Amino acid sequence: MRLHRPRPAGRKVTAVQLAFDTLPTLETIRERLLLAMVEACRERPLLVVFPALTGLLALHLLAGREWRWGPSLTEAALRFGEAAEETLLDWARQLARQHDTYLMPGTCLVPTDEGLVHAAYLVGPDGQVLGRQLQTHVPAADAALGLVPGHEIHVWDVEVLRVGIAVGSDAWYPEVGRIIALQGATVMLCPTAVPAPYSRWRQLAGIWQQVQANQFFAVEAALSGAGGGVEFEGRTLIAGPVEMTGDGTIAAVPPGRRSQGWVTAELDLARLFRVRREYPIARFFNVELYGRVFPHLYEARQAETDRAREVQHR
Amino acid sequence: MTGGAVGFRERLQRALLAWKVRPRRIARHVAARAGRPGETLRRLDPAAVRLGAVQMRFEPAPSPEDYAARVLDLARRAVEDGAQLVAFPEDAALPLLGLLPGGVDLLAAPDVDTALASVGGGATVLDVLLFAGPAVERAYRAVFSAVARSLRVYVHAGSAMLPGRDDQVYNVAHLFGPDGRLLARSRKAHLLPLEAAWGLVPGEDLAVVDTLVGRVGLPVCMDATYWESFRILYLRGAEIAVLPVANPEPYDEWLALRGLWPRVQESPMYGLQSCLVGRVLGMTLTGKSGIYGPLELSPAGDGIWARMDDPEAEGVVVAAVDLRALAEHRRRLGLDRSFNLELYRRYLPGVYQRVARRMRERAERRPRRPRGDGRR
Repeated sequence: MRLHRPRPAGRKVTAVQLAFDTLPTLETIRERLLLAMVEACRERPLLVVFPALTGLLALHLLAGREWRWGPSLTEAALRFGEAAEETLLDWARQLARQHDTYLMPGTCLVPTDEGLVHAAYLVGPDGQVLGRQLQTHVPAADAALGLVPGHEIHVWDVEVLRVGIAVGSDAWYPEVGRIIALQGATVMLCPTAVPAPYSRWRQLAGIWQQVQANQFFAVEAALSGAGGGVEFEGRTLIAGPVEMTGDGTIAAVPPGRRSQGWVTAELDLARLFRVRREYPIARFFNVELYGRVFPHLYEARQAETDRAREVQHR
Repeated sequence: MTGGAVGFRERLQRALLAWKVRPRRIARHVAARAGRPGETLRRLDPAAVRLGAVQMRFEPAPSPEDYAARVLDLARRAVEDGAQLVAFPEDAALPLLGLLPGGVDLLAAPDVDTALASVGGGATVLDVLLFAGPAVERAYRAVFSAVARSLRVYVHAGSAMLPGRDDQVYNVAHLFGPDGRLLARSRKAHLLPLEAAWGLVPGEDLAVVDTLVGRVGLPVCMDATYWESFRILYLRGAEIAVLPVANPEPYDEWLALRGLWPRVQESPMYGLQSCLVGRVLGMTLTGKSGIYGPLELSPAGDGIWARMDDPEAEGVVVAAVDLRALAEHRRRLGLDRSFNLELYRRYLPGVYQRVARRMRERAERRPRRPRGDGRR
């Protein structure tokens, strides 16, 4: 069913904090997401952002068995990840259409020829999937699950906003925020699922600092609850440059192991552009230096690490 | 006065200045005051490398001896607390402009324009730095070299705005070894808008140097606003980044938090920050000197080992950091393996070049806008 009201023309965004649960049927999962979406759309936002790993909510039902974080999750995702993705996207298309809003419905672990990819999606108000962003950096903990990285970073125009997505661990890689920002993004969406306990410092070291370094907004939707033997705890956050906000926080949902909720904020682009003009970080990039060392230095470092590892193994 | 007379007067003033800052005299003065050499480098333990951050209040130096005495006293306090590497702030050489004729009054002016007006002749900041540069550099290097040698520790001398051989002025960090030798210099690669407005130019690289207390990177202040600087240092193997800072704005915890602290989280290493504080030319300099590092290794889980409480007071903080734990932390994170070379080949450095080109084109099309203020 489509709600018959004109789509808001503003710049309101909503971030949803959702508790992961092992629910008994697909219908109960759909209801959980629907309820969250109804709440999230109270202030009629242009865009709603869900946390990471929402695609795993249905995995145990599709696989016909419980999974644990580790090899059993990898195995279930390799066999049923595609079905989980399809299920999540079906719900997302419906929800976006019903509420006439853009929706980032969270993420899935999806099998490919190379291994599992961690994918986030952007769905338009007409239910079309506008695009998919893969996690591009796979730290050791994610690599243990068999994750492989994507190699592209996209941005999309969501009416007046230009958005990019930092998926999962990408929020802690400054390369990602920079590439998103330099493609003109004004907002970075960050679906996250961070194991408990919540650390304010870890959040500051991730999304918060990417916002300060790139002078864009960020919408982080955090997962809480428990799944596969892991407890999650995060603080859903809409962040902006400290010049606009004092401490970088525009709105936030308090952290908690079962904490759920949502926050909506109007993103003031005029003020953002004023901050960029008054403190012109981009004007002082040392492009000559970067041109000389990137990406060769990364290649050299990785080769050195590989050599050291080989020597150690011998 | 004729052009020849002006030239003669300038040469004479330069000669007098050079005489005033004779390195041997400075070295003798420091050695006489230093007392017993420090012993902190006698025992080396990578699991307990002791770093000292000096928070120095800006005070014009009426003579090289006064300046040397202040530097020595501050460094000695750090060494007495066990520091093996002692770091001074950005623009640590600025007080030496007090050696110019009328220099102390010049530095006491309420703002830069009034100071320049007192010099007369339409002088600019760049003119003053170019004129004073050779004498300032001579005194600055002599003082810090002598202090390092006398205390037998590594001394990061902060930075100085100095002319290069190309007659451009750079903001240059200096690191001296325990024998007083200059081990490395590194030019600030990302300027403060204020520095760019004064006519300084950015450096073209960031130095990393091996020492007995670890591999040390030499960024300067605003370099920490750009994660790229610290990624470069990390990729070159730096274990400790020494960051001299002179931040001309009232202290704000949140503004301060976007410098060194996030950089040593993204590119895991230890960070030693030394701040210049006090008032100069109408600007209030603030900062909290300290020793920072990865959250996971820090005693309270906040990435802070030691930090000055007061952002405006002079003082010294010292803390021990563990290089072995850092190596293990890096290995556990698997950061090197997670770098996405295919992604970087696709986007770096092209994304910067496209933006720079667009900004150049826009600037050419529009009349010039005023630059940003002095914040970093």
